[in-house]
Amino acid sequence: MASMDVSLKEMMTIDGSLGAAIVDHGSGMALGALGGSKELDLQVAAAGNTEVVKAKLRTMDSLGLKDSIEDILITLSGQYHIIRPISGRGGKGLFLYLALDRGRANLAMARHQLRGIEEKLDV
Amino acid sequence: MRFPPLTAMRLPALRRRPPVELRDEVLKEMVLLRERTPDINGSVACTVDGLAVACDLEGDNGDQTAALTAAMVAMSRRMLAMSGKGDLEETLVSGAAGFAAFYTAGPTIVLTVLARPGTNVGLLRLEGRKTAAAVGRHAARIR
Repeated sequence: MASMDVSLKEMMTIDGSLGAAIVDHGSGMALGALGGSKELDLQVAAAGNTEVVKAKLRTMDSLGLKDSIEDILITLSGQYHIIRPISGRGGKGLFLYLALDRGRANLAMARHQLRGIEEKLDV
Repeated sequence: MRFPPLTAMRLPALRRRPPVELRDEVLKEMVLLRERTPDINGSVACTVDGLAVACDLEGDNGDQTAALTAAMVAMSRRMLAMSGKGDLEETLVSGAAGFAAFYTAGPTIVLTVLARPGTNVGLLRLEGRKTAAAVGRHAARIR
């Protein structure tokens, strides 16, 4: 079991990490955020990526897919953005958001670590 | 104690109406806000004493909204002054069927934004503030 602060710190230790946030996709607001910069405003990222998650959930609903999202990967030319909805326990309606520098990150490793962080997280 | 009906709260005619040019500029910003953010129903910009500057709402209750906004903002400011929390930036009222948010746009104008239930509040706050800042800039330029 890890608290939100510990989980955010762990997300920031992932190689190439630029910013991390735990976001409520009911409200679009971040419960917690760490890292970020002038170019990466995590509050804006939280609100914007909430729209991404909502759109995907809506699409799955329209398609009649009775499944859940494990993660969403967005590949930019210079960055990776990973969105990982939190499953189970008190985490319903939350997702982890991680921005990585593509030059320094190992995508497979980052996804693996993020899964571990999500499993341990207790909000 | 009985409260007077809302219409009686309208301000005396001798108070100067905001210039028409300002209304047009502000309305443009407000329409942009509604088009950009699908969860937003509409908005009203008014002066801190309840005079509507521009109205982008369906229906015809812009004047009442402006009057209530003045009361809401006055109350919020007093609350902040009493608790020593500085100047008002935003008041967010959340109801079972949507939201009403109030953003200060410079010293004299307030922007009231109405949004649907299930709105992305994070986005509403960001966009509301952005539009209020733009409205504030217009108000400072056009007097």
